[in-house]
Amino acid sequence: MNCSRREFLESGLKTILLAGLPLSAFEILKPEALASIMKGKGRRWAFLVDVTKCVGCGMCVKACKLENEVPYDTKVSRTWIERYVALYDGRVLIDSPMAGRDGFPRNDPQGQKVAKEDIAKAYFVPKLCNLCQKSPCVQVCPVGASHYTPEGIVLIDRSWCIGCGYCVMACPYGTR
Amino acid sequence: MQVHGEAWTLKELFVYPNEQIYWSVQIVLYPYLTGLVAGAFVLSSLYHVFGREELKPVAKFSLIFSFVLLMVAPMTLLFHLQHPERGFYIFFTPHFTSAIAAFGIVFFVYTMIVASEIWFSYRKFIVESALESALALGKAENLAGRLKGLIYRIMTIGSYDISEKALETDEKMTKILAGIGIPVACFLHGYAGFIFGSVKANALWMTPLMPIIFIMSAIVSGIALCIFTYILIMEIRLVRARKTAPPYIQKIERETDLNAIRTMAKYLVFFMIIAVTLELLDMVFHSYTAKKPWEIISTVIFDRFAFNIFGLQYGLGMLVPFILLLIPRLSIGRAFLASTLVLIGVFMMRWNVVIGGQSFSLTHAGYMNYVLPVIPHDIETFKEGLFGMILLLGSPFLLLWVYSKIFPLFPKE
Amino acid sequence: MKSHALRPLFVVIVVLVIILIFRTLIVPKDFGIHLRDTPFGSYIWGYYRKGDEDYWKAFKVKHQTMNYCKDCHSEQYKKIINSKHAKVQCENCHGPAVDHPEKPEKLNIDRNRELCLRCHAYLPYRTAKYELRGVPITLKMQDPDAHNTGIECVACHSPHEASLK
Repeated sequence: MNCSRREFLESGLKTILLAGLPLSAFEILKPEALASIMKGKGRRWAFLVDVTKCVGCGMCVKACKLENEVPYDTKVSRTWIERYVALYDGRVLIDSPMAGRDGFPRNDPQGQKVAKEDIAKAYFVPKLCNLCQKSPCVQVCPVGASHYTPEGIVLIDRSWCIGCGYCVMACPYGTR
Repeated sequence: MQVHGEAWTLKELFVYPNEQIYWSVQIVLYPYLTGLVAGAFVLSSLYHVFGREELKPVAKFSLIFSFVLLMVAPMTLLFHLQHPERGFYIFFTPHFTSAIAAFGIVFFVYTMIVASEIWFSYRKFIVESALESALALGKAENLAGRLKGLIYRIMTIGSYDISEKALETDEKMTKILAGIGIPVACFLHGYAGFIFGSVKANALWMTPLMPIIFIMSAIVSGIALCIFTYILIMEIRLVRARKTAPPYIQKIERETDLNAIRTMAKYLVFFMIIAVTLELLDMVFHSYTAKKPWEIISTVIFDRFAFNIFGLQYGLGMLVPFILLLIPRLSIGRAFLASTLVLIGVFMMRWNVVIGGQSFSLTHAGYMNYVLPVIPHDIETFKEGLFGMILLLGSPFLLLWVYSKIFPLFPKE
Repeated sequence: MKSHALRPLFVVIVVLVIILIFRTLIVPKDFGIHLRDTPFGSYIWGYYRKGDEDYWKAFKVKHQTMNYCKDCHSEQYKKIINSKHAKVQCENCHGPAVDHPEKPEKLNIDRNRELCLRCHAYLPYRTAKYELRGVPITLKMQDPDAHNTGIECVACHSPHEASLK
């Protein structure tokens, strides 16, 4: 192959530049991202949880109920914690007593005593409303009571909800 | 404090904390009743549009019954809503990306079509009754009679023309409205199927076949209900006539038109075949395509709901009446029994779809059992319990009796 | 045909007009399609009562976080952020501040064993190692049924210093 030094440097530089261009730069080619840039105000909030760090204390569930005035003694909660205990005999014990509101102070998944030696793997999974970008609960609300805000938060208009429960049915995460 | 649904939901294994059987018995009744609406209307249209003369004796009756059921069907929704006082928002701020929002438009259009069709087909009778009551106005008459006269006069909407030409127009309009009504009736029920079939989160419901399955079983249940009620009314009339008959009349024949019943039974069998085919096709399709959720769905179908589905819905509700109807020389008693069984079968089908669809958790690792509240201990367990169910299942018959005071169900020529 | 055939239609129109009149009376003026300049601006996602945003903005915030406490209770604040409990929020034990010190004047401190056990009860699968200020530390766990049962943890331990008293 015949290639002068100048040509080699030129193409090499080009390659480096192109490779250096981060993939995320192409993000703007997505229609949503493009729209948010062109129309301005494209800020969308996110809520991050590092699930690997969760120790299952349940304070987030308690705080959520107090903060949002959810009746404290009901078993429902929009934020909840699940405990998964996989045993060597193949069984997986999963539970979330009172949605994890009081934490997990005893080693009693699903009310069963399990010995340490039998546990293959176990962890806590905190779950919340995912505030989906194209959320089924907003799509199926028949009266426009579930809706987005400009920041992308999914809210419910308490004064307009008729209580049909279609959002409950439509949510694939069991959050509603 | 309990949240909605906790009173009748029994959870097993792992279920998300927010999951309940949120749609309970009233949501079973809603598609059941709208199905009866659509079915009864299609039956009356078979005479009005397609000219099945054999069905003439029941055509008007099934039209009125369809309207009566239409008045009761939204009651189930009001009983279910947590904020029934806001129910009318669905007319005011409809969000049409929701299948439920279609209710406002479809319900309104359909009510108007059926009401107009009733008006046109009964117009001669209305005008005659109004004129009669106007003539009798000066004379002493009881309050009920006067009220009735007033109702007829309002119902004429100021038109007293019952010339030959005007009556011809009536007939033509009835035919047109019945024709438009069929797709609207199917839409009314198809949308109820769509409500379930479009829920992506529910593996048992999610199928594009759902609206068609609903329409077919709707027609089945509607025809069965018309057979059932027609025979029932005629028997009551017979008993009454025998009681009040003067002694010199030896024997009173029942007025039941066996020919009409046999024709209805024929259509019933026809639509039953389509309905069962579609339902089984849907089940096969689910088992083949929805492999992941099928693990839990199959335990629901073949274990937890096996008796409901194969015993009541298909066995007692489809197979037995199918055989009963196909044995030649169909008698009134046999038709009555078969239609009753079909009604139970279609009710069980709605039950298995609505309750069965909610009986497994989104986790695919747990179940929810529905325990129908029998003895109500608060307003919620009344509304969505056995009593609420009986109330709304019984009220169409009560309302039909009220309507029969105004519109004769089986007018003599 | 023209004589009476259209009469039901007139009734329908009258009913429709009545519904529309009621609609304008009852539906709030700010109900409509909003968020047009965001990715959510369409009938599918942005059809709602605009005033609802203000309702939720005005919804009282109860948990105020450490920043709210640090000026008045600077001594305790300094203690805790230098301890192993640096990431534990004041309100976890003291309860939501809301408008403290006006309302409520005094916060109820939760001294219950169960509160501490949320993290410190021994579970074989509870993450025991984590990081604080870039340094790995151990989460101390105890068997609640063996370790000094019946005594409040704060009798011996100081939560602000995360150590024995």
